[in-house]
Amino acid sequence: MTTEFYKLPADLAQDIDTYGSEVGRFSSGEMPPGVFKAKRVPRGVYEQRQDGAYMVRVRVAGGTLTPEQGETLADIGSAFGSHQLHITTRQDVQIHDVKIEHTPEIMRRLLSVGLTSKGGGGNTVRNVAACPYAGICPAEEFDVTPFAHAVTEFLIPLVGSSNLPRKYKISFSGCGLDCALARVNDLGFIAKAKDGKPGFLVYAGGGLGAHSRPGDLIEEWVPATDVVRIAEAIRRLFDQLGDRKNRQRARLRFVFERMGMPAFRNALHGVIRELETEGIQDCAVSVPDIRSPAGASLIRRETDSASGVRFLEQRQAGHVALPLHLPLGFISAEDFRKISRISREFSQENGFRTTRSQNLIIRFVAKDDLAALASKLKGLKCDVVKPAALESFVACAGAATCRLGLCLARDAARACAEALDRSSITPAVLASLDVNISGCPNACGQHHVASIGLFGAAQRTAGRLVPSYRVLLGARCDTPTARLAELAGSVPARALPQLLLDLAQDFEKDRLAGEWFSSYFERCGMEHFKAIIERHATVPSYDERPAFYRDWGSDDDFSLAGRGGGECGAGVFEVIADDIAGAKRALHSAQSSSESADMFEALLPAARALLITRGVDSQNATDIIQAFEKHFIDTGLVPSEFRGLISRARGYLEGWREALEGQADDIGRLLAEVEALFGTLDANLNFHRAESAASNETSASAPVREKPAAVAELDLRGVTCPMNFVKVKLKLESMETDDLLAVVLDDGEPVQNVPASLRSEGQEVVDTVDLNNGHWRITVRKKK
Amino acid sequence: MQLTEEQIERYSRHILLPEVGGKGQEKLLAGRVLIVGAGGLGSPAGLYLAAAGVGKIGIVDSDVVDLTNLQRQIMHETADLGVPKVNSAMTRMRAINPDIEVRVYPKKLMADNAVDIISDYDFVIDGTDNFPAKFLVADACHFADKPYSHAGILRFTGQAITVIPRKTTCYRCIFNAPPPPGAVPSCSQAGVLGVLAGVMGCIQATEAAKYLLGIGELLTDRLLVYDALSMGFRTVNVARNRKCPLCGDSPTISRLQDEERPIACDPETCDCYQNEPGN
Amino acid sequence: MNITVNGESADIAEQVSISDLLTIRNVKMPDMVSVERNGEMVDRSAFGETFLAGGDKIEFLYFMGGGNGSERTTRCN
Repeated sequence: MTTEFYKLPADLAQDIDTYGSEVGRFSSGEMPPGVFKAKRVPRGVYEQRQDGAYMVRVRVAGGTLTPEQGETLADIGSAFGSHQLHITTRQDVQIHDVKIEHTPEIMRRLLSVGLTSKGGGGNTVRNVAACPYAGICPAEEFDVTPFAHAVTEFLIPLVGSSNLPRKYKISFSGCGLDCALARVNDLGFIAKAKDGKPGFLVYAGGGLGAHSRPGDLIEEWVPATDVVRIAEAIRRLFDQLGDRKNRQRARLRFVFERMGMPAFRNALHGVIRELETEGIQDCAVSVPDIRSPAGASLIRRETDSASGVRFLEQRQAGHVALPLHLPLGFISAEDFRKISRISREFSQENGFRTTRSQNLIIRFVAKDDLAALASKLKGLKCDVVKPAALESFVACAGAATCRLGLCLARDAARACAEALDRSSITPAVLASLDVNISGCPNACGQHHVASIGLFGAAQRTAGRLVPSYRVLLGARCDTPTARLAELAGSVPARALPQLLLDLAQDFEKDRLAGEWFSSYFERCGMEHFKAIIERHATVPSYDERPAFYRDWGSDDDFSLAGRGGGECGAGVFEVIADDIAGAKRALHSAQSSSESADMFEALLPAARALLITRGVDSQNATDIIQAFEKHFIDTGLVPSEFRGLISRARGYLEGWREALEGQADDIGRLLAEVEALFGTLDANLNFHRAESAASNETSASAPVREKPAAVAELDLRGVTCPMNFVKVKLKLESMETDDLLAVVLDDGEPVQNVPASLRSEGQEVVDTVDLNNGHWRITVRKKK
Repeated sequence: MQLTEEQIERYSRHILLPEVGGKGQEKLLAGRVLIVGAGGLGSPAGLYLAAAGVGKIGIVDSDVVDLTNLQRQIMHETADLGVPKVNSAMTRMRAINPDIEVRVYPKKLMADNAVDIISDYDFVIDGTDNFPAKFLVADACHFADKPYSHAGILRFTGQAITVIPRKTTCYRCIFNAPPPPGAVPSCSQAGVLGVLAGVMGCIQATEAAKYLLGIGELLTDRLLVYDALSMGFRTVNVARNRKCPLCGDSPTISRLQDEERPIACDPETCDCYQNEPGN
Repeated sequence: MNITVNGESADIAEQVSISDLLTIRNVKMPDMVSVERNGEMVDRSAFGETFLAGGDKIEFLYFMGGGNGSERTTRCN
């Protein structure tokens, strides 16, 4: 094994110097944080939730690390105050809790051993993944690892790899069982030999995330020599065709949806021809060993009777691989150093690998050395070999470190694993389950591809927020068309352990020998599991079980307070939408009763709905009213004519019982304002109406509106193009200029086409909001 | 007028057009177009205006369907031979769009009925195939003050012009009277590539639609000349003729009259065409 | 001299009348043609006496029926 897997860009040292000076200018205040963000993220430096703490994501192409690289990573961790490293679902190594000033030095140290964090984040070519059993699995066609290296080597130096419309993820699998999830990457290669020659099936346009989609097979077979050209061709197409204006729809998979396969393939072939004339060489990786593994099964886990250690029997006789389980991907720097040394001592490939399940694996260990290796591993602080339920879990960072996270996914994972460990469920059953948990709808925990996927959400019950998880089941990624998991129900976070216990027990009862949970799911069908999940869906009242109102790992009542900018807070939008819907329902009942009390029940959620975006999440009615006035009326976001209503609300709270009698119309109009404002909310939790205190009182140039703009609604869910546009047009025709129309559209073509068509007709699309349930809400202001 | 769900779907491709929209479609639905002649020109015009949802379409023709028609008069089918043309026209138009009203006039447009019939409509399409009828339509529209589209086809050429009486060039500005009786097309001159009727009839329907919608520029003050063989379209500017007997400074036509028909070849001696039995 | 006929350039001799032009251009039935000269219709009766000048733009506008040419019943089609 060479010490260097691929060449890093020649100018990387210089780039680090440039970055160093940018850090300096940021630290001194000269460079604004927003500008600096655009510099650091493409270099793999992320901000953590705690102020001043940063994370460096190191790319590990194909998951391969030499012992020296491992030691350096551990040294960096120790040296810069981060005693924990984390392995990601993309096989990167993350170094947490470092200060920004140290990041240039960290990068230099990485460079000295052939590692880089370039492209660790941002709109870049991300880490190129490969299945961790590449080279050792009986089922593989040939070893794909060097291809992951070759593609990495070619793509990273390109300037065009750092400013793509969005992230670009590439993955290699050694066979159709697709352990590296090539089928859900922007570009995925699945090895296949043909007539004795190495080659690949090529999938493109897949992706997880708040809108997941398996990739399409764009080439049934290409020779291995074409790999680099294809990766570059797709990068170029993505560069040219990705939607840079609309971040939510910028990933390659949206280009795919827009163009459709035939047009995309045409374009692809055109670019590949261009590349050939540009002289982009054949991929020079040689494949000495092509197998015909017809009928061979996946690498199997065995247990060594002597040491009790589990290992994988490699296809190379007499050699084994040792999977090392890191609890949720975390490992101390010290242990990481030890593992690196152990790999130097025992692994005949002189190194080890990271895996997609946030673990490590040491391969090419002589079977005879197993016992010695096992005893060395005992010297680690972390027990990496003992079977534990937690091995079945993959969790993203969650709200612990990630600003986007809603829920504390890791703590939930641990709580569930503990419950499973304490139960009498056999290890074999546990090992046949895999549970992926994300702290929010963005799929960093890859919840769509596990047999049980969970993602964090927030529910409102009786005015309080409850941390919850949506449950997804039924993923199959080892078939030619990958099937992603589907929504099966929703439970409060505190109910998760019991739910998983029930699912595991149900599985154990009827499980066939050696059966995976995903097959069991197929046998039983979705309805069977929906019933189980439904039993855990109820939320007890705060008085009965206050714990339900606190997330795992938190002592405080669950709250969305303190949210600021950062990437899209996907779950936040849902909570706001729920509040607005609740206000509408309450208003409806209030309209029949006309009672002050009922009016208040409608006014309160209306006032509360948007407070989260201002970092306020209170139960106290007086505080809510106060905060609404301060953040929305004083700032001019909501017209000042509603002060009267707010005063009445205050009066009601102070004892004036009739204060809100007959105020249904005004409350309705306030709600309409709130909803319209919500429609303008962007992914950074900013509104797009002028926030000037005086805007409604005095204005020399703009005419003052007599009344707030009416907000009509149109529900076009399930309506395809172009009928949806027809209906929006007709509705607008019946409205006045400057009136607002809120339209709910399906994801996909509808939301891609309708706003653009409206704009081309001179209408103002005030905003598009992802409702994260397969639909979008767009707000249109009639201008023509 | 509120469009029904079915109408929204049916006319969605119209509604999508910025220049049309729901309001435009409502104009079409409220529109009334008279098509004189259910023949080569009237066929495509009628079919497309029905499809477009013109709310009332009148069709005037006294003839029955003849085999020689079927080469170009696509409103009619082989099964319709012998059926009054207005009937098969109505059947076809309502099959496309049951939404609309089709009013049939199984008679010839004559001096004594032309203005009455035309008055009920907003726009007239001259789909006639003979000169007396064309002059009658021109004159009647002038007196009824209704805009109309004239078109003609011959062999491989076609022509069209839209007339807004008293405002733009009229038919008689260009052709001030029917050709003299002696000057009649020989038999081969009466031939025409069938599909030309489609092209010109559709242009007429287009003008009708534009008029009802109030969009675009009508084909006024210019004659569109189409040469199918070279696939060339020309527009010849034709100004209003101050000496026009209908709309000029000193008009000489003050009433409608049925013009004398030009006589074709002598059936006794001409053997170019076998007369059909009956009729 | 040079004139334009139906949009195309043509060279003709001096002293050519419209009737002459119709003959030269092989118009078989001159009674079926209206002539526009430089944007104005020329009276049919004046065809023989109207002489062309250089740069004239002439349009021949043909009478066209609907494809039958005349009544079907007793005529040739």
